Amino acid sequence: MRSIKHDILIIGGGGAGLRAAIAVSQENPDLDVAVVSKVYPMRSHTVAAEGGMAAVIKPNDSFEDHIYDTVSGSDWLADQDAVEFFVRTAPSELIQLEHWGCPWSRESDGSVAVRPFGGMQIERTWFAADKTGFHVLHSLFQTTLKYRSLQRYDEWMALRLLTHDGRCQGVAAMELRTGRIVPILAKAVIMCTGGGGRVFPFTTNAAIKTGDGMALAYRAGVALKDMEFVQYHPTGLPGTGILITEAARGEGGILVNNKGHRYLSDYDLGKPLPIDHHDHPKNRTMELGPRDRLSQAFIHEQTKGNVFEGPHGTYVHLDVRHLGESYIEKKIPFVRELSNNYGGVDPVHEPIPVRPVVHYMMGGIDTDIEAATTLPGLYAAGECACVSINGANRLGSNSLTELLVFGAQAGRNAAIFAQQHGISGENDLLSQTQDEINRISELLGNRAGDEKIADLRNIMTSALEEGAGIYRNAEGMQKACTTITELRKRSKNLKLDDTSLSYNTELTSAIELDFMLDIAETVTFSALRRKESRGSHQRTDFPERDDDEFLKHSLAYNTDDAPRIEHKDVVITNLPPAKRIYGGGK
Amino acid sequence: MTDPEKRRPSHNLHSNWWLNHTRYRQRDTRPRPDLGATWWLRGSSYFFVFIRELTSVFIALYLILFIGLIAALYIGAEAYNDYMELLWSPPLTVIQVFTLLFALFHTVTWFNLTPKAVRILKGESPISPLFLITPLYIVWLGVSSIVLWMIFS
Amino acid sequence: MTVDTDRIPLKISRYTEGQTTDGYDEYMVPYNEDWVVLDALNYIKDYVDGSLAYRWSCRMGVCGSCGMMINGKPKLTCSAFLSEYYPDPIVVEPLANFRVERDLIVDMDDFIHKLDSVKPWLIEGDSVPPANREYKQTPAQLAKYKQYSMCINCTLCYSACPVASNEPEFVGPAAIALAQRYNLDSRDSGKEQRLDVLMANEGVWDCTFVGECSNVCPKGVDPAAAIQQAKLESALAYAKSLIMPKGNK
Ligand SMILES: Cc1cc2nc3c(=O)[nH]c(=O)nc-3n(C[C@H](O)[C@H](O)[C@H](O)COP(=O)(O)OP(=O)(O)OC[C@H]3O[C@@H](n4cnc5c(N)ncnc54)[C@H](O)[C@@H]3O)c2cc1C
Ligand code: SF4
Ligand code: FES
Repeated sequence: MRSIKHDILIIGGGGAGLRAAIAVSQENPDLDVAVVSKVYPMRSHTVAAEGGMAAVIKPNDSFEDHIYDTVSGSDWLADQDAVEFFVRTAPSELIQLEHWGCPWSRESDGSVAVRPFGGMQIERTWFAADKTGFHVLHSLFQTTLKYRSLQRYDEWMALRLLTHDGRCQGVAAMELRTGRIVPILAKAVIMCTGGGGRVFPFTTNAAIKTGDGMALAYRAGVALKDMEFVQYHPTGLPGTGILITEAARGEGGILVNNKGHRYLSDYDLGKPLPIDHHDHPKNRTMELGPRDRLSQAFIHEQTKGNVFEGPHGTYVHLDVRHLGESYIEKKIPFVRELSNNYGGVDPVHEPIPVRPVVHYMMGGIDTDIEAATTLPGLYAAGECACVSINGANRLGSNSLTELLVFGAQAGRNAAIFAQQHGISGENDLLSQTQDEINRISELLGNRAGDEKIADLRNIMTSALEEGAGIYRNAEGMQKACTTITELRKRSKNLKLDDTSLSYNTELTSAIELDFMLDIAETVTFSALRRKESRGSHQRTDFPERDDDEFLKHSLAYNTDDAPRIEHKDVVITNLPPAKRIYGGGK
Repeated sequence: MTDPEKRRPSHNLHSNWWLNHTRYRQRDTRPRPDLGATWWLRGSSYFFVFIRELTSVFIALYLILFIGLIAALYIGAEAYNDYMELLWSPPLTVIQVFTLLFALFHTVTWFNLTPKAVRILKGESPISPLFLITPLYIVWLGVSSIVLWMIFS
Repeated sequence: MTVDTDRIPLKISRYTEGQTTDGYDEYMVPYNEDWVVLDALNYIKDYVDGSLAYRWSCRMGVCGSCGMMINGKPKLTCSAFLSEYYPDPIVVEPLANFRVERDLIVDMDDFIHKLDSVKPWLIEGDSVPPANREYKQTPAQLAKYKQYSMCINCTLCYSACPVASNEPEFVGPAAIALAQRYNLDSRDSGKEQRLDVLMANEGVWDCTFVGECSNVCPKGVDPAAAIQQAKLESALAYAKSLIMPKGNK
């Protein structure tokens, strides 16, 4: 078996991975970098992000405000040292991106424009119309093309981390084109594989978001942190789950129920201002409240029977008609395109049907402020990592910024690590790869199996929706845990129709299902252990936040049996835990 | 920091050149379905383009006739008269009428395409294509009238 | 195949390496008014034939991975609704003018190489703002190149182009549009470097202005316009080089 060697290996070509790759070259252009991605980098899901990216830039804003918004938004579960680093580094990262050509929307004087976003007291969200992630990803990808020290492995799928000597030293990866599995060795590895929303049935996430990197790290012994916190975005299109960005509300869109009432006013989110009021939309109020609270409000409205019924379930209306056609075309054209294509309504003339949809995983690979994991040589950044700046609820537009801030951080630190370490124990690394080859061959050749991927996937996703949705309780979660454990066993018995090697997408689906079961397991088991309600984790049996017991991160460790759950203190610096107040005042 | 562009030498920077063997296989047996020789029959918009391109055949034919005319003029008055007679012969007249029609068609399609090649913005939105097309027609009509005037006066 | 009221036939091109004949498989898929062709493919993969291979990801028309020929026309399968075709059969084939790798998956290497060849990154000039300040760019300056920055690299335009069909070396619509995207950006100074590629044999002058690339583009990029503009610019640059042969840049 021949191995491939690089100084630094990055798994994932989304916003975080590409930023990390450039950061390595910026830190030391002599290091040779590999980027492994299971899709061409510009297909990564960062491309779908719409609304924008937060950083303090305008004179009326301050770091303190952004820190406060992020920490209170997180329901105090974010690590405040990390948040502070994040907020202070954000502006320079976004400006850097501007220098790389990102086509930010502008004010008439030529400076970058900002828009309001949920849970932020001041407008600080940079945007490129409503295709921010698309422009960010393409700008980054195109910028990486000029760095020839960077070797891309497009359409290669990482299968297993290779470790020796207590260090992560590479990955066994499969070239999808040929199906062969090759060890890619490196002195440091950065995991940037994004989230895993696909463990739920109804999600804004793309097909590739199956939590691979989280599972890889988990299997290598690294804890997954705060996995119980899953963000529901309040405005997805029924049926497909395609996202209607928060920017629609940031620009003035309103949510109304089937009585024509702006129901958010009934949920402690402030008083509604008339849509033609000069202060509408008001920051941190009503439609610009945080996502967890808005999604929870929907469930209450549903219970009260105040929602519409459609072929794809219940929904409420997101109304942007008052903004007018030309404004909609200018600021949120993609919202119009998506509603037209997938919602069957033109938002210029009709309200858009929306309902809460699984959107983002606050949890992920346990990393520190240096983007390092507890496994030396392994770094992680982006949605797959949990630093944590998002705590129990992420604020919209903080994630894209996180990709840059912590992607760069991971790149720099991995570069330093790689200069101090070499590759050791190559034989051991190769034999681990051989094990992986054997495992995959077995899966491919299993003629005796009788389970279908789609069936298991459907059971898994409905178990999570039922057990770990917006409102949870012990009984439901317990049931979900049992289902997942059972699926684990059944998944050993998969049967594939496709036995070929080139682009065997059925095989990759089977591997992804296996990764997703790890994610599902950590979500449900961590949730069961958190006996309180905080941010996106709302329990009907423990409706209050419990700072004495649970102002702590959950850490899920892989074992042969159910995951072992431990807890770790949250870092509090300047902002002692307090009540989250929206709708006026702090 | 070194200029990254200086570091754009080759793809062989790495010891992993052997990976490329599948990418640059010598005899590529994979199919490459293309639009085929009959691509211009794949729909009206292709067909339209094909006709537009076809017009240039007539224009080329006419140019040959035109070069002949100049040659005749060079040779002398008699040759010129003979040649003119030839041009007035029915088949050549038909060709010339067609050429004229095709030239008109060609002119109109190209004029209408001008706004594609020249994009002028007023503020944030492109100016109306009419601003670009109309002057072309005016100039065309102007020049044509001068030519007609020269011929008939 | 019989027409069923609530089912729709899909005829799908299949290929695995080494296969020499054209192969098609036919499937009956439940007809659902709000399904796109991609949903039908997913249905087949999940419940009928797991060996069908194709690319997809975002299912919202922005990642650019799901382009295929549908009834002979290049389309994003995530935005092509079954209702446009029902009850007629739908023929799904891999994108034209590319090498087929497997079933509906084509080789993208060549395209990526072409993208790369036009230097699609911001090439800095003399007036770079300091690290803590952005370039000033007015909305009008942004509007100059904005349209060309909307390309999702789906390569539908390559499949629609008869020139790309006959001349595989042609740099092609999306790559040229991307070059123009940077050429027209007020922050960029790399136009001359890119013109070298655009003026070369396989560059803009290969284009005969069929314009079908712009017709099939799902994002309104209008690559045809970009190519014509680049032609104009390259002609001007050529003329300039004749007048000033030593050409101070
Ligand atoms: C619809 C939508 C809209 C959003 N809008 C916003 C917004 O407006 N503002 C904001 O801040 N955030 C937004 N977010 C969140 C944000 O976009 C994501 O959190 C972020 O893009 C994740 O980036 P990433 O780099 O971590 O991962 P991704 O962009 O998901 O990239 C993951 C990469 O990892 C690779 N990969 C995965 N598994 C493997 C494997 N096994 N082997 C090899 N490679 C692998 C993939 O190929 C891909 O390249 C949005 C999210 C969604 C879904
Ligand atoms: S120009 Fe249009 S058709 Fe061509 S790749 Fe870009 S988005 Fe696709
Ligand atoms: S699946 Fe992403 S464009 Fe169709």
